[in-house]
Amino acid sequence: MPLYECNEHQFVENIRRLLESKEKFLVNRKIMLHDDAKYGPAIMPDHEFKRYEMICTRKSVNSTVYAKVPFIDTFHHNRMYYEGENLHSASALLFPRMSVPYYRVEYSVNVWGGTYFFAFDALFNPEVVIEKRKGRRFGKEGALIHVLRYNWPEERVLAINLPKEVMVFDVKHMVRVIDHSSNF
Amino acid sequence: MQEKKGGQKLKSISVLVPFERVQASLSEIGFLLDDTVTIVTDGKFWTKMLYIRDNETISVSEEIGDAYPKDPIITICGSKMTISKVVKGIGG
Repeated sequence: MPLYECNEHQFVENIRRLLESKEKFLVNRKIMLHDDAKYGPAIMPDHEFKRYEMICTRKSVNSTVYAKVPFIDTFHHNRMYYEGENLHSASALLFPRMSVPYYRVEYSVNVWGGTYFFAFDALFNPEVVIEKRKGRRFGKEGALIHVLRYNWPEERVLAINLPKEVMVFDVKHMVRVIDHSSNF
Repeated sequence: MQEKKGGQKLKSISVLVPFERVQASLSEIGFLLDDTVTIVTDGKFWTKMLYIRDNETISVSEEIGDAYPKDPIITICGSKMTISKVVKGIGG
């Protein structure tokens, strides 16, 4: 069964055409959390990297990123990064040490034996605050330290808003079945 | 009077106009920015912005950075009148 990839514009316009044709169809949606080091701070455009500038530094896109100050990453079990630590090396862009979590969002529609899909990754929103922390590293009195939190994006901004008559089913996984019947 | 959600239409537009013009056009007809998210698709980073007015929604996705030409994708789920106003507002 053929699988066709669309961009947002194409996908929405295809749904509109289906609606206008009165064809019956169902839209499937899959939203999965990933934290597989696919995205790190070195590959981000400047506009996105600015959100990390309180704790990270780099020369330009695809340059090595270093920690500007010590900080704690609460999303990754309070992992501690030290000042000057290499967070994402220019020579290993595919393997960042500081991973940005994201939702993988996939929308698909099946019509006339074909699947048309649109997929994107939505990055979690970084939030940097200064907090007082106590413990082995910070002493009995505690110390002020930068803390990086990742806030998940709200569902309403991830969704493709569709008219009420379009039914959207949430799915966990799509199994693609190969149809050999057309070979005979 | 606004149409109920059942009477909503769908439209996606991809036009070569600056985002500022799209934004101005949306605020002129009363749409307010509700939320934004950074998304990655086709190996490019985009800012996806959600605008809301009552039960109508418009999302605008614009590529981040110095990409040229910039062609924001505008997806409207709203009344016929809203769709025509947005299309007119961005010079369509």
